[in-house]
Amino acid sequence: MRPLYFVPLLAFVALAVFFMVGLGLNPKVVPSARVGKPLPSFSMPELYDETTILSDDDLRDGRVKLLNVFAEWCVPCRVEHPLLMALAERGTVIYGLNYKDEAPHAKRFLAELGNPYTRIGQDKEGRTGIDFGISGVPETFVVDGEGRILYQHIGPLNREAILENILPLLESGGS
Amino acid sequence: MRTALRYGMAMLVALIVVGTASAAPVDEPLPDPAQEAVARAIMEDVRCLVCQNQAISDSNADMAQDLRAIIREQVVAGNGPDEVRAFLQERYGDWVLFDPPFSMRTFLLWYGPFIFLGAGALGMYWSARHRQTEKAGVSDSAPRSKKSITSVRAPSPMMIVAFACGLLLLAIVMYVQLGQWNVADRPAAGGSTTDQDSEMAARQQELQNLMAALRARLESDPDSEEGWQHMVRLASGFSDYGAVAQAYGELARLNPGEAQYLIGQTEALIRRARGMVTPAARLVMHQAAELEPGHPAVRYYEGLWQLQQGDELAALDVWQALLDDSEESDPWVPQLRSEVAKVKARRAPPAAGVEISPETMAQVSSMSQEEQLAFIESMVARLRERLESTPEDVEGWLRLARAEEQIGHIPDAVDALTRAREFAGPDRTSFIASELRRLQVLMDSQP
Repeated sequence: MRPLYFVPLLAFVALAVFFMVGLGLNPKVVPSARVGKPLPSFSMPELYDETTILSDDDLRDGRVKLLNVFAEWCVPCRVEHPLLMALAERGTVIYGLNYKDEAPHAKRFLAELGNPYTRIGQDKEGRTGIDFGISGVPETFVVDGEGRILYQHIGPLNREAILENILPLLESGGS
Repeated sequence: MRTALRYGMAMLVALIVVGTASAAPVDEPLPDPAQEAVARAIMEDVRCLVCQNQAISDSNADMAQDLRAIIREQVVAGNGPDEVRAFLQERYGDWVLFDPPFSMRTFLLWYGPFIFLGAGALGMYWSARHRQTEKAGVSDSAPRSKKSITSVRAPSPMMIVAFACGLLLLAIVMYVQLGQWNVADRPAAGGSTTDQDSEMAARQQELQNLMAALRARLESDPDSEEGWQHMVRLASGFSDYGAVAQAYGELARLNPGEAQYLIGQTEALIRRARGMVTPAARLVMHQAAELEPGHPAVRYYEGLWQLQQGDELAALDVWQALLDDSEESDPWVPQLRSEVAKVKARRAPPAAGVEISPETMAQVSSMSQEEQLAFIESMVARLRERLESTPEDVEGWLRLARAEEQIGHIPDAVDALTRAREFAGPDRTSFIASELRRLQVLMDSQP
């Protein structure tokens, strides 16, 4: 047998592997177009002091941090909230993007479940959310000290995502 | 019909679940039809982030509305389709476009089939040539057995090239016959529905767990106001109005002076009875009236009760009096006004120009499903009547077609589209044609 006779077989196996992998992918996951790119520019009034503005420049402070998109009306946000609280307790800087919410509702939500956020910007119109390329709430971004987006987590955070993807980035200092 | 009900229910659930989100952005066509046409053309090519097999032009998701508003803004600001697409691509990648652009990443997507075909043809060509030389070598050196003659016979290279070209030609002919160059591909709807259904089920399960946990908490701590507030929200998400009513009842018990919880309980009881004002609901709302005499909600439901008793005059009296006592800026005024107008219209012969106004739509969404359907059907009949006298109103026919489709009268919708086509300008003909095609598919799929 000549080795070349195996070419069609190999081609078939390669295709089959592609298709098998493709079948296993979750079509619901919107690929992250923003990862590896700088933050979009934004300026949002702060939740607890509407005269202060939270802007993208505030996130370029040399530290790796999280930016979490949340809303009072979002049920999965309640599910992931204890994890955010735990992260905040171990010293992670978490910025909040309060997506299409009303300030009193958001405050009630945080008063009840605790506030893990260093600062919170209000995105009442949802435009900043779209600039970040979110496809729903909640979503969590890891942003490095220079304001580059390192990672985007879609949906409620879970233990595996934090341990495998988020903590290593936070601990490496983002480099 | 089933789709209409499903649609209605989805709307209702969406209204409740997302109810606390801030007001939806304006989702109205642009005043300039040319700009609107540009914006619509872009929307039809943009994938919805939430219901992913829909274009944002036909999705009801909140996010799709936002994106529609953004696209319209950009079109008004003078951005061309390419700039708008670039804006979206920057945020969501090629993924948002149903018609992904050609790039290094999408190279295989566009040219993969040709590459495979070419590789196959080359392979066959090569192996054929190889066998021929082999055959020549064999015949030179030794006499061949019968078996080897048949097994070694290979098609000539020319034949293979011709075969490959023929295959290519066949593919092109098939594409011209069946495919459409400028229509976005969408995966079959059937598969995705089950997918969405299973996801819905998973989400329901998650909510159910939350609800069970909450129930347990409230059992041990029945005086937790926060807990009951949560129960109201969660149970609303489930459309479990019995539980909502119970939670409001507990809240009223914990806050004996406040009418708002009794009103909430009344509304939940009415919803549970699919829009009927039951004796239980009346009992609760009269308790609220004792706390806060002349509460507008109580007066409104009193009117509704009269109406449901068949006493339209008494209902009109109650409602008219409420309208007279209300400020123009009160939130219930537009809805109440249209409801009064509706009762009046039912008593009087149909007016000439019936419009389906946003207020009416809002009011329709607060009715029970049976009422909704009956009401929509009467509206649709009146719209059709009016259009018969002004057949050049293309947008009117299109609206009628949409309405007929919503209530499941597909053949009537096709008829309305056909009427619209008679007077449609060049900017609308392609839209009407695509709508007709879509409805044709719908009709074929429904027995």
